[in-house]
Amino acid sequence: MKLLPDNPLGRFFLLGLLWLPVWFSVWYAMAPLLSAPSTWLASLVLNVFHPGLINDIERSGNIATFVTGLQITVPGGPEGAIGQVVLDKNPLIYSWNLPVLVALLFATGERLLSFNKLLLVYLLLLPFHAWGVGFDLLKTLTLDTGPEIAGQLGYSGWSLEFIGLAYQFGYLMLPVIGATSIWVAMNRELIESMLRPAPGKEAGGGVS
Amino acid sequence: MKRFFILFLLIQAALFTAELMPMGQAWVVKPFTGLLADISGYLIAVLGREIQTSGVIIYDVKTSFAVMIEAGCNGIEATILLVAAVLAFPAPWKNKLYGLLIGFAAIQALNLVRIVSLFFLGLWNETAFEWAHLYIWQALIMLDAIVVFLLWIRTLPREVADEAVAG
Repeated sequence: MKLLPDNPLGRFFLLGLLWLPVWFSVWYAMAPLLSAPSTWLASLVLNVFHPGLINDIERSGNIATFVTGLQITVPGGPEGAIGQVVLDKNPLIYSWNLPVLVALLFATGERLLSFNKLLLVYLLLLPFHAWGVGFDLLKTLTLDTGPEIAGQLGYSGWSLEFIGLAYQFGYLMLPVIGATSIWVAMNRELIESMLRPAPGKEAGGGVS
Repeated sequence: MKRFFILFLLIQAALFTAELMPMGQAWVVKPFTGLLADISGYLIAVLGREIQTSGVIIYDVKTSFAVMIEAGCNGIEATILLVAAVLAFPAPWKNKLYGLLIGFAAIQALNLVRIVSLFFLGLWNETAFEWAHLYIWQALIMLDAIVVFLLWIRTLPREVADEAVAG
């Protein structure tokens, strides 16, 4: 009995579905470790543009807590009460594409993926993850916490619109674009062979 | 391939920006998401729940559980990516139109399954709902878009596909 179809596309799809739960489990188990570099990179870039913005990153499970250097008037607090802005973020909502990409690579036949290749995949995705975390932080600081923080950081008008757009892009589009681009780049020959109809089949004859 | 990738990035960026514009939200996203909520509500009702929908919110009368269909859950972004890929690919317009229609249907059909399944998961267990919502369904919709795109390319005339992958 055949477990996998002969059709390379069907085979790819089925193998992708089979590998997904495996790599999702590995990713989730290692999530605190895997998400540390992206949160660090995001804070590093933010500190380049706004020195002293992120003072520290604390972790509790999968949640990264960013301790900022920003101070804000405590809403509803005693007059003159000042509080330090601390933000909790879940970096996993930007890095779910890592297990998906590895599953896609395995599904395309990369069963002997080396540790170096896995590391390369992780490093290539890192900027995309950092983009998501970084703009999520900026969006929360400038658009969700009121004009006081946006003013302290020097954002107004179109720059706030850009932050909103970049955040949405990082959340909704980049995870897919990042993973598929890397997958295509790493498997161009295999993908091309999948796209060509099997020998003997007429062109335009439908999906086989 | 390079030309395809550059065109793909440009088209998806333009469509995504248009989606986020106030006009895009008012004319396309909100009405479409509302329609999606109505259809999902109908399907959930068929499966045995007493449902009310209001705008983009689906409400379970018995348990007071409700879900709101937000950006990322209406399938529009996945559709944008597929539309950009189909439009950027050097194929005859007739084939592109065919790909756009089939692609839209395939993504939205799976998205309805996503919304209905998330609703029932949410009724059952919050952790399962979060996991499926934030990670699993994102991956499945992405896989759906990729497979639909690859299937569409396989339906193209051989010389078109050959030229495209060689270019």
